[in-house]
Amino acid sequence: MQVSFILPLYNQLALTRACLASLRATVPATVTHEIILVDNGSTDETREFLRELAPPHVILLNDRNLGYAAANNRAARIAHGEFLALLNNDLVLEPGWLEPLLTAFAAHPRAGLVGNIQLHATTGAVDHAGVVFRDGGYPVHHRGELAELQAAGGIVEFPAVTAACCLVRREWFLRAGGFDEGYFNGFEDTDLCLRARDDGLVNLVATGSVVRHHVSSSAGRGTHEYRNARRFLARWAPRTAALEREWNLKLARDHAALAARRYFTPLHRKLGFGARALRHAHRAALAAEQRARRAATGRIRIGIDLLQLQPGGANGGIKPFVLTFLAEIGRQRANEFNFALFAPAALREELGAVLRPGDYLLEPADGQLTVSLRQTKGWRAAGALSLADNVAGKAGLDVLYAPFGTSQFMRPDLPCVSLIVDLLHRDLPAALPVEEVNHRHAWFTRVAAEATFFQCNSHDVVQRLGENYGVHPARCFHTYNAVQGRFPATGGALPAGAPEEPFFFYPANFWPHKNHETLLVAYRLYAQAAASRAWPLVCTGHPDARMDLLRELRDGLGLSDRVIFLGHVKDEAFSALWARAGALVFPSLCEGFGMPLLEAMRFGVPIIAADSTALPEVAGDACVQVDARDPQALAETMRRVAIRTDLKDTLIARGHTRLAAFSLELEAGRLAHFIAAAARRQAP
Amino acid sequence: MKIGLDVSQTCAERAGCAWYADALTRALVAEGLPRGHTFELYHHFGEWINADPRRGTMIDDPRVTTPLRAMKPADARKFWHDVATGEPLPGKPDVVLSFNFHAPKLPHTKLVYTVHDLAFWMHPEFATDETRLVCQRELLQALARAAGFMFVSQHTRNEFEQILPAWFRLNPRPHLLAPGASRFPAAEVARAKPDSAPWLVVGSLEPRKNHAAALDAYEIYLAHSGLRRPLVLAGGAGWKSAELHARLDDFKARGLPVRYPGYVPDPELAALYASSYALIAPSWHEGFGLPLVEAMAAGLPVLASERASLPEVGGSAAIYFPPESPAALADAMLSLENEPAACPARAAASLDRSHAFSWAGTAKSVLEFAGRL
Repeated sequence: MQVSFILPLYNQLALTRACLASLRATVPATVTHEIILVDNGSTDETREFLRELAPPHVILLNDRNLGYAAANNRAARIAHGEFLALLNNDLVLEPGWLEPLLTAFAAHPRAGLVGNIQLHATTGAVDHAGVVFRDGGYPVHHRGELAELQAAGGIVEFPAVTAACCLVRREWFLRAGGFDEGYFNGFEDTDLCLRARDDGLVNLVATGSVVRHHVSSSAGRGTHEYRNARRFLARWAPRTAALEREWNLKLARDHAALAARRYFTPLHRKLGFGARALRHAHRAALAAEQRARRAATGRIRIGIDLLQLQPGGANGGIKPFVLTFLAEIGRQRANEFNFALFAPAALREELGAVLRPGDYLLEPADGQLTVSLRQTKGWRAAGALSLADNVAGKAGLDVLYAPFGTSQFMRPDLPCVSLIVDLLHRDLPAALPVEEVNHRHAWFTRVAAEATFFQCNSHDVVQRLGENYGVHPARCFHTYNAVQGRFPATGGALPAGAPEEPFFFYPANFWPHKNHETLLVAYRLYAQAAASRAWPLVCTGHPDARMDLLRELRDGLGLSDRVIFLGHVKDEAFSALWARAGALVFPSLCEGFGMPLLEAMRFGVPIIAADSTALPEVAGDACVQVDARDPQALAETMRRVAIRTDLKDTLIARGHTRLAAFSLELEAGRLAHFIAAAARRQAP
Repeated sequence: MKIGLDVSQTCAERAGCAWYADALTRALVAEGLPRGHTFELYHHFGEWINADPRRGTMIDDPRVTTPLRAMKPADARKFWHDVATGEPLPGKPDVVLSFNFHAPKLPHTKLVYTVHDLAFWMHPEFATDETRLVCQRELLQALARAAGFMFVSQHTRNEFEQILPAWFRLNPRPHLLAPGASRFPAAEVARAKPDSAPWLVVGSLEPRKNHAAALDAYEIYLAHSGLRRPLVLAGGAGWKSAELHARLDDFKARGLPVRYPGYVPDPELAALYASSYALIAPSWHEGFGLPLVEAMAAGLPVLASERASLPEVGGSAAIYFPPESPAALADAMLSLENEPAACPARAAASLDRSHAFSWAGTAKSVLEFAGRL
């Protein structure tokens, strides 16, 4: 099915009737469609009217007014069309309104929301031809003369459009989570449009599509305006202010070009002078446009500082996260991105999947960087750079990506995207040696001032970065570590020593903040009560002195036969473990994301998670939350999950649903978008 | 026997564990030297390394050595690392007593581990992250490494059983109760106090000590009392005490007779006990409760929270109240003040009860215990 039309309704039956009549009259016969009407608890005869309707109408009834956002989200979830056409019930659709919107998607593969021109139903004046920002980032309708707007082009890009009449791809809409239901009848469409831009999509106005709109006939907007505006600005201001500046420049240029065409050509003919200067200025402006367009579409060389990577699992989750994301953005932007990876020589084989022909690898050796160029088969030596030099300049980098937060290659004139995985040294300094706390604080302070954008693992990290280092949310973006797909779906053999029966699973390196001690005590309480029915506990992680200590503590607790430390486990064996695990138990005291949560959801494993830092944000309702500092509470939760099949099933189902919101393509796409914006020195 | 003693926590500003360590060390030395034992005091212990150990417990006697007192932190770290990998301790002691939650690896000697409380697991909201991470690791290390255990109260022993059920049954390890006592000499007789004698709260300012209840109750008390005795809070600033400080400033601004002398060093503290009217101990949780025995030894009536180890220490001498109810505490304060016979009776009961605790007694049982290991 091509299009699902969605109309939320709240009273005003006469307008609804007129809108539906115009819809039926203007939908082309070749477009397969359904019409989903969502009633938000209307109190007039709307419900009687809806009862009379037959397919292609689909009726959803909400027992009270759930608001515009929730009504649309509900409809989107049951829709079947490739596109969602979001409509207000006070529109009057004109013939030929739908085709330009569909054409816009065909012409622009990266279209987000496509809107159109809306005229006042009574006066015929233009009410909407796109949404721009004014007065420091506040969204307003772009207006003007219809003829002029249409002369500007058939499909024009805008930062946002109104969803009163728009088209959007259903798959993206659902993946992005639909409208933010924290708004009530206002700003949710602009918020969605800006999120589309974050994912690298563009919002368009198809000026050939014109409809009439009984503007402001729906009550209830004014009362919520202030709260909605505050929520919107809290999330998006200074970025919308930046967009305002960029768009004003663009509109002014377009206006000047139009004015030049209309006014100055006959004038210059008449006067015979001033034209050369004008033509010169016009040509200079055009040349600048061309340069900007070239810069905007040319290849970008990205320097990536991976010098802190180690072989094996010592780095923890950051390693698979960064490498998987780099491979993905390399794939997505194969025609646009070139990588220059700085990495220890020992990692060359592991980096094979990330590097494409044309990428460079720079490996430190004796105060120098040995440069190698990746070719279709193998490598070509490409000289060396001295570490004492301006490496970024000599390597011709357009932007630096620092997955370990800071980099020795940062320079004042080089845009930089810095990955911040957590603020452990601020949230739980007791878990780190004091030298490490001081070291991290020093580079965080420096990077907070110098980096262009901050990639954070969660909204939680964005907030903590703001609270601790004054970094404004406008300079941050979040990417969820959606790399659970790196494990083969069916595992190989179980690693030696792993149990055959279901077990509690805690994959985590043995750092103090991972809280293994409390887990051991909680497990003992659980196992004592459950006796022979107790599930074993399996822990994996990089084997080091802490693991040896935890083995000693386990033995001291008398748990040698029930608690198994498997050390570092390779990916295939890891899949086998996930396939057999009975539950994930994740009592970490501080996380920036929590990758095992998504892994558990992917393998259908119920989750017990600590109730602090980023874990609630990531796991949502797909877990049982527990105070991880409290062994008795943790033991009780383990007992419940092990015994209650209904609880397990609920958690697995919720995990499966929730996992759909974590898409590697979307998350890595966001990283690519911001790296490109940083490189081109544009507003993201 | 040669006995090693952990006095590491006595080198910083002293609170409960440190007073226990200092007093028990002195009592062990006093009881042990005549019996022919010798002692070695450690001013750094395991992972507890002090910046400056010179303020730590010092006993002037050739049979009491202090091999680590002059050590700088880096050397101390290396010292304990070497001990863990097999280097014997300087005096080659037969047994080492840990008083500060740390359980280092001691391949050549027996470790006796003191459990003060398990608040970091039972009431995690009352423990700092640092305390939690250190104590949970070290306590589990002790389970693997210690030859014997000391519990400062039956309540602590019960908490241990609750968190680690049947551990002693499955791992028979000698253990004993080693309660604290007052480090100040007991009063001869409970003296009557003038009208200006204050209510006293002793304890560092942290959420667990529940000073908020004392302040709430005091406001109610002031509204109903004829005498309006002052309130004195003795104790250093702990953690999360900003709100408390703000309240104290507010009380002062309103002209209410509340005094906050901060951390009170020993000679003044003894005088403070002697000159106070009664002790208020509103804690949410205690491992033992040294201020109770100190107050009782000074002949003070005690109003104590009914939680944790406090009833065990206060016995029938103290008056108990629920710490969540400042009204109940205010009632108890007013009853004590208004009934003429109540105060002398309670004071006498306190003094009597204090005789059940003595450092000498605890030291004797500890020496006997160490000998039997």
